[in-house]
Amino acid sequence: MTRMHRALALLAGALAVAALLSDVGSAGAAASPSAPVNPANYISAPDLASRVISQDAALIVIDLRSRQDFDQLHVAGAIHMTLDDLDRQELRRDARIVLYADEARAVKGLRLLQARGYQNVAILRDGVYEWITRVLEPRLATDATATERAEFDRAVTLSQFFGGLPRSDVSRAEVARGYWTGAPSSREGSRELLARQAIAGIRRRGC
Amino acid sequence: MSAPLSETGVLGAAAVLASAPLIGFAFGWCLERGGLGSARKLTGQFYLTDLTVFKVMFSALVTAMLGAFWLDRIGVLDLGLVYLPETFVVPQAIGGLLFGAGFLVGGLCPGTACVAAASGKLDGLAVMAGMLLGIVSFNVSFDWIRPLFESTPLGAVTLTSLAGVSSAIGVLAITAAALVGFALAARIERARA
Repeated sequence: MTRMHRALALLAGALAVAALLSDVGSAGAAASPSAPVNPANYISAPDLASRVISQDAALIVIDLRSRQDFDQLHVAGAIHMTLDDLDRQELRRDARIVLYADEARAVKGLRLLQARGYQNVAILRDGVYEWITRVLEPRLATDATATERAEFDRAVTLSQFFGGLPRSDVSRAEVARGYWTGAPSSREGSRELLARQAIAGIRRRGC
Repeated sequence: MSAPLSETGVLGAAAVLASAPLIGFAFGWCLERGGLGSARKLTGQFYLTDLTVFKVMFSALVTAMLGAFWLDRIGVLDLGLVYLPETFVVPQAIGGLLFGAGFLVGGLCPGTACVAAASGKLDGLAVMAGMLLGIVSFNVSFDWIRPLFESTPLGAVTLTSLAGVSSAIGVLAITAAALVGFALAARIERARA
């Protein structure tokens, strides 16, 4: 082992120990991303769609995903920002801000804005997946319940406004599931996969 | 935060494409300089006579891990935007075994096969030809393989998220494992020399 090997090993060890120390230092911070989100800080996709349609002037929808994902498909009227932009840019204090990305990232954004004193911030819980399945492409199963029919009727109006494609009389298996159907939330990865497939479908149709 | 450059829009699609061959050449050069263009060195790994592969790969891994972790911490890189491939347990385990078998038989892995071929070694060319054949047959038979390919999905997971610990603990554990591994490798090589 040469002197350089020893120095490099020492450097790696020091950086790794420092990593752990930096973690311990930040663990006590109040804005811990792992703390549960207040249910009042969530907004559903249909509620968000209604606000977009009513041209709520105070509404700012922020897409925190990558620029590529944003360019492919985003919630109508949304602007793209990184977490860093969110940390630096000044937004209107009276704005009603809605964030979306994957949940962990959206929660990070929420904590960041709350720490900067913004009061009216909400997260679109299942992000683009929820926007697609509940607003753009709502589906109604043949054996739907009365509540599901009512929600579908509302979704059809929203969907038509955004140029979506509602479908009724599909099989139960074709209806997207999520926290809103009371189903156990699917894994992050598979939800992203479904969103990607849905986006690919929309692009194929040329919407 | 300005990185990853493609995801934050700092580099456009054309610039990203143009950077790919540059990174590829740099990767190949480093592999060659690390001595991994030689099938003899690579197969030495499997017989524990030459642990260069382990040392080169593990140092690259630890360097990248520490670099990415700290760039994220100081706010230059946003790790949340870095693409994380999804895990499919059974197909990836089978793929790993196939890869290992091919590695042992051919003496080269895909990256080092290109390096060996570029430095004029015939076995490198042969492995590259086999690789192309494998790619074509995979694609041709994809409909048939698909059910297996998409089975046992875990989503985009990391070791630390599965273990329920913070990424800093993961960084420390892997660095410690690497340093212990390097010391052991030096001892094994000395004993075999």
